[in-house]
This record gives sequence, C-alpha cells and structure tokens, in this order.
Amino acid sequence: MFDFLKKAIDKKYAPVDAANEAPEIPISCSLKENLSYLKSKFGGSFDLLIREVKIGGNDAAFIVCDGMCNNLFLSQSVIWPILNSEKISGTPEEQIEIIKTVVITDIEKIQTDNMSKIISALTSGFIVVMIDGSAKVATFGVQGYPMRSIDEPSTEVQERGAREGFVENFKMNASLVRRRLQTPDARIEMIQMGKASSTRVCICYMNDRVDKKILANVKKRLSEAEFDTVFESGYIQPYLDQKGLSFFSGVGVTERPDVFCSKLTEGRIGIFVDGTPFALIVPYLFIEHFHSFDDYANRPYYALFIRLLKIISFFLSVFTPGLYVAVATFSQELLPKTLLFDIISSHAKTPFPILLEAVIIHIIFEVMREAGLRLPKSIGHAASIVGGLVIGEAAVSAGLIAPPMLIVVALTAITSFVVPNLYEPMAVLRLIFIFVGGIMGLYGIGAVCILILFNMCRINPYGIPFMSPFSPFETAAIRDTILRLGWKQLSKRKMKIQDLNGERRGKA
Amino acid sequence: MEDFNKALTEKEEVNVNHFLSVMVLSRLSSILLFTPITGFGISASDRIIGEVVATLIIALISVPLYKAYQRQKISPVAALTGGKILSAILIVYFSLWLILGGAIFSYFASTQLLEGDISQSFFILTAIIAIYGSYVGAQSLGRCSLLLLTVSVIGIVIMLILSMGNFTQYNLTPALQSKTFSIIEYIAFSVVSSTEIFAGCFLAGKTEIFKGRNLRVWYGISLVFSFVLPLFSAGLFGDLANSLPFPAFKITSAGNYILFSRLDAVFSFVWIAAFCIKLTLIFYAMKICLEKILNKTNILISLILPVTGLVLLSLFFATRISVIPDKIILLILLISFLAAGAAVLLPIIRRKKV
Repeated sequence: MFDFLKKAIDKKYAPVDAANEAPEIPISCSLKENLSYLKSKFGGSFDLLIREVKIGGNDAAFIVCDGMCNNLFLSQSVIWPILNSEKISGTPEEQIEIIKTVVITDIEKIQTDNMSKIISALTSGFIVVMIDGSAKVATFGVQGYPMRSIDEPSTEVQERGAREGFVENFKMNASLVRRRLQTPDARIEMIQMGKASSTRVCICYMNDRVDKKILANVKKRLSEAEFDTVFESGYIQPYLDQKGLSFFSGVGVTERPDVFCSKLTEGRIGIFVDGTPFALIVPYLFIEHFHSFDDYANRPYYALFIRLLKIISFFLSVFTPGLYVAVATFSQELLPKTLLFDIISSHAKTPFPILLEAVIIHIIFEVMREAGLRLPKSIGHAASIVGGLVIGEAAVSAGLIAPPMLIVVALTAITSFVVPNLYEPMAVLRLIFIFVGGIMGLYGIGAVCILILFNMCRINPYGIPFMSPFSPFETAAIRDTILRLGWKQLSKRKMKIQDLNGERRGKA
Repeated sequence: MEDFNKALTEKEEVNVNHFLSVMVLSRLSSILLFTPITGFGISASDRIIGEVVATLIIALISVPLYKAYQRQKISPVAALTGGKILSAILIVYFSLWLILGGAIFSYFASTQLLEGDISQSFFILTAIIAIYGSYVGAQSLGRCSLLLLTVSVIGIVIMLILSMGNFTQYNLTPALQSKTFSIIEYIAFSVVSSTEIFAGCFLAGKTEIFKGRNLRVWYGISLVFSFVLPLFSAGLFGDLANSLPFPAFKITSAGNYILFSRLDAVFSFVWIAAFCIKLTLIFYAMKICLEKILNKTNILISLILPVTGLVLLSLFFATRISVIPDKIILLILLISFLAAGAAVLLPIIRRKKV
C-alpha cells in the first residue's frame, strides 16, 4: 500500500550518480589556464593568495589559502629557498623536480596530479608551486591554522588519569593516540567524508587484535554514509549503530585519549573526526557506560563501590519518579502508614493530579538544565537562583507542587548527573515511566521495562550483543563488569571484544 | 521495516541457556497463574504432586522433540508438502491457548493488579510487547528471557524468604486425598496447556546442541518451582488456597516487611515477565506459521490483525471463565494438543530439511 510513497522518497533522495560528478581536471601546462581555473573555482574568496614570480627564468606562481598556513614558516622554508636557489634549471618539469628533491627536502610533500587534488591541498593548508610549461606541480605542507591547545576534557573529568583530551585537530589527536600506543600494530587510517567539507575521519585499530570482519563492516558503513558536511562525530554515529529505533546506542563516545587507547587494545575500533574532540568507539556495551578510567587507577573494592553507586543511581534516576507516581496513585497500601499520610496530605493540597505534577516539575527541571547549559556563565548564577528559590520554594509555598515531589525531582536530578553518558535515554525514559506509572501503575512500569529490555537485547550491530557479558553470559568477562578484579588477575587473560560473542562461538 | 525483515530471514543461532530460560519462564508462568477455576477441585497439597508430575511429563515430551529439531535444524512447518495444513493446526492450538491464557491473565489483572476497566488494557499492552518481542528475533528473545529469569528467580526467592514466617506445616493437608481422576485431569490440563512444548520446537531448530548438564540444571529449576510455589501456597493458606483466585500471587500479601506491606504489587513483575515471555514465544511460533500459510515474509500486519481478534475474544471470556466447565476446556485443549503434537512429529518423521 505504501510502496508508491516509498518509491517517491527513494527517488527524491537517490544518491548522486557517479557519472554526473565533476570529472578530474588534469593540470594544464599553461600557468594562466591553471590560475584562471583556480580563480573561477574559488570565486571571489579573499583568502586565496596567488603570488606570481619567476623561477629559473620561467613564469611561476605560489598559491596558498591565507589563514590556513604558517606565514613565517611559509616564507622562510618555502618561498625564500626557492626564490634564492641557484640549483633550479632545465625545463619547467625538471625545475619542479629539483624544487621537490633538492631545494626543499624536509617539508611534508603530497602528490597532486589533478586540479581536484590541488584544490583539496590548498584548503588543507598546503602551498602549491606552479611553473609555466609544466603539468607537474610541487605541493608542500605549511599548515598553521589556529587551533585549541590540548586541555582537560570538559565532559569526562577524572580524579586520576591524564589531563589531556582530544582536540579539534585530527593530527594532534593522532599524535595523542600514537604517543600511548607506540607500536606499528596501532593503525590510523584516514578517509574523507562530506562532499562540501571533505572532513578527515580517522579509523584507528590494533591490527593484531581487531576482528577483521568488524573492521570491514565499519569501513563499509562509513563508505555508504553520504554527507554534504561532517562537522561532528554525531553525524556518522547513526551509520555505525544498529538500525532501528532504540533509546541506547551501541557506539561509545569519549573525549579522553587514554580511554580511547584502552578500548583499542581490547580489539575495538575507534573513529575520530577532524573538527570535533569527541571520538567514537565501536562496539560498545551497556555496562561500559558505568565504567570510568578512575576505576582502573583506584583499588578494586573502591571501583566496585563506585560502579555499584552508578548503577543504583541510574535505576533511581529512571524509575524513582515513575514508581512514586504509581505507588502514590494506585498502590498506596505498599507504603508505611506515616509516610502514606504525609504524601496524601501533601498532595491533597495541590490542584493537580500526581501524574500531572510529576510531568510539570520534570519538564521545568529539563528547561532549567537546558537554560543553564546555554546561558553565558555571567548570568548562570541568576538561573540557579531562579530555579532553586523561585520555582522550588515558591511553587511549594503557593501549593502548586507537593514537597515530596520536589524531593523526588531533586534525587532524580542528582542521580542523573552521576552517569552523564546515559543522560539522554534517562531523561526520556523517566518521562515515559511517569506516564505509564500514572496510567497503569506498577504493572505498566513492569511491562514497559520488558519492552525496553527487548529493545536493548536487540542491539547487536557488530555481532557483539549490547547486553554482554550478562546476556549472553560470559564468565571470564564478569571480572571487569560491576566487579573489577585486581590488575594481576586482569592481566592473566587478555580478553578481546570479539570474545563476547558467545552465540557465534557456540558457547553455552 | 527493513530491520524486521532482516530479523525474520537471518540465520541466528540461539544460545542453549537462552533457549532453556525461555522454556523455564514459560513453565513458571503456568505455575504462577494457577487459579482454582481450572483446578479441577483438587486440594492444595495434591496440586503440589500435580505440578511436579506435569513438569516431569513436559520434560519427557519436550526434550526428545527439541533434540530432534536441533539435530535436523528444521522448523516444524518446514515440510515441503502439507506445511500449510500443519501450520493451520498449530495456529488453532496456539489461538485456543491464547484465548484461555489471555482470559485468565485478564481475570488476574482485573482482580489482583488493578480493579476497573483499565485492567483490560493490561493484556493488550502485554500482547503488543509480545508482538514486538516476537519480531526482534529469537536471539533477542533468548537474551531477554535469561535476564528476566534471573530477576524472576531472585524475586521469587525473596518472596519465599519473606513469607517463611507465615508458613506453617499444619496448613498442609495430607496428599492424595482428592479423587485420583481429578488429579489426573489436573495433570493433563497442566500438560496440554503448556504450549511452550510445541512453540519451543520453532526455537529449537536454531539452538545449539544441548549438553546434559544444561538440561539437568534448567529442568531442575523448573521442577523446584513446580514443587516450592504450590507448597508455599498450601503452607500459607491451607484449604483457603482452593478458593483464592491466584494463591501464588498472595504469598506476600499478608504481613509487614520492615516498613512495607502488600509487597505482592512489587512481585507482580515476576508474573508479568513470565507471562510476557510465554506470550512472545507463542507469537513467534504463530508468526512463522502465518508466514508459511500466507507465503510472505513481511507479515507485521498479518500477525496484528488475528492477534487483535484473539485478544478481544480473550477479554470477552475473562469475565466468563468461571462459567465454562473446566472439563470442557480440558477436552478442547486435549484434542488440539494431540493434533498439534502430530503436526510437530510429522516433520521429524519425514526428516525434511529446510
């Protein structure tokens, strides 16, 4: 019945036929033609700098994008040596070769044999040297665009562990990875994504540990992703994740190079995108959202305590409001008499049903949180005062909200910040459970729990079940789930992520 | 939609522990949802014997069947000829159970969980979740049931520990005091209403080969539940267990536990989980049968429509279940059980491969 609609949608969003894409333009021997082509491609962009000179008696030109290069380095290491070299002679093509092999030997060079690659090199901070009469060019790396220095990650604060986080520049990120994995088995492959942005995306893995099928799967998914621009790793995350609707993602996100590298040593694949400090890790398990790098630096008993705390906080954050609404509405007999009396008498004074009260206060909390996130820091304090005193205190005094409900919201809020990775699903699930608890009581909460569990058990994008190592149960992996054994035990048997596919290995 | 199709067609191997956890939860559902309406008038003590014997018979029937399907890696309706007829027979059997089981569950929801018309929506919600569960695939069903079984076992153990204070051996009446024929009828009803025997065959073809230890452990757990839960019902309520609508549910309804009372509302999750898994298994089997009959792979709509009809029928019977004589119910189920049994035995006998 809906086939015609599907066909119409497919036709509208059909991928661009490769034959219709611009063909690769060869480099002309005429300098004027080349410059004219570049000027037409860049239009009136002010940052395209063309300096026409004479090299070895021939007309030549230096072409660079202003703002992408280090000007001092450019003039001292490229322009000055070329213009003052006495070794440049012969035909224009020979001159280009001499420049590349004799005059400038210690700077990054890349092969550019057509105009598309020249344009790509220019926009990446390379300088292109063209000589009239030569179809070859010399391209040197003189990047010097402004970038943020390495700083402590803002979203993953750890007590112990390095104070370094990924930055927006992919080369710096690669160096952070290489510094920690000083082995040739640590591979960092680069691809470009985005027709307009040509964003560099790096795929990292340990060649001696990664599952080749998973690696091939990741590369295939990335190659099938079609984008105009890629400015954030979140753009490509859905392509790496399980298809279909789910509250949870089988792709991990991290800003920390130490976490990133430790996951690579488990046979996983890491992806970082130029322009964003947030790297992706696949495959990723549900239980890992409750792990932190500090767990491995602290004593095992403390790590166990913290992990349990996080898991309890997660369940409190998701279920407390819904359970409160369900019990207060339908199952009051569960509560002790004194508590029941307090709750009922508090809610008797408010005009709204408990369900509506819970929904209103949680939406207000989310609004306050979002406002606090977007506000400039200078007026952030004002938002806290409004939220805490005015809305909290005034709402209770006015009899709009019952005090027990405020306590529930406060508990929910605090516990939700203990596991920030899961804030998105927690915020939405919480509201769902409030509705379900208010309409169907504890039964509804239980039933929706089962539905969500089915959904979570379905997540399996690379053959590694999301709920591993609990289901399927893997005894060896339990040593580092809620419990973290000491390093002596953990080092005895090195587990890789592909070992968790108990179903594929036929393990009972 | 594409993901659903993929779930239907991909070859997925189910872990043996996951498969057995589905079976144990399904059996648990039958034990938990016992009601004297279909109790054939036997005493609470005789019910203990009835459940244990029924579990043993179910194991005796199901284990060889599952092993045969595992070895041959086939589906019960994979027969090249007559597969549609076999599918129709199995659908009839599952539908009858659905009407009866749904009626009992709706009766349970309206009397124990939440009174009023809203309780009718509980079975509808459970059916929707089970339909979703049947479509996400056998592996997901298995993984989910393992987790739910763990939670259920913990819940039941806590429930029994909390109610031990009220248990008294003097409530236990002597066994075999009921009519022998009634006990046999009860055992027969327990066996023929265990649709997981035949529904499990649809999963068995995708499961790894059993090891003896797995079977012993998992069926041992079933046996323990079959013994312990009726025992506690009898020990807590004595003869009153014969008239309480759902005695197992009432185990924690009496008494205060630390600060809280009426914890049966909390432990209802065990009931919901067990029933949901059983229903999901039945829908999974029905889905495969419907695929065979309709010769289609994308049958989301095809399963929803008949299931909606069956759910409405079961809601109709929910308030009338006590009116229908239990012997009539047993007779209908027995005939359909024997027909379904023949339907699942035929492919093994013919030794057809998919």
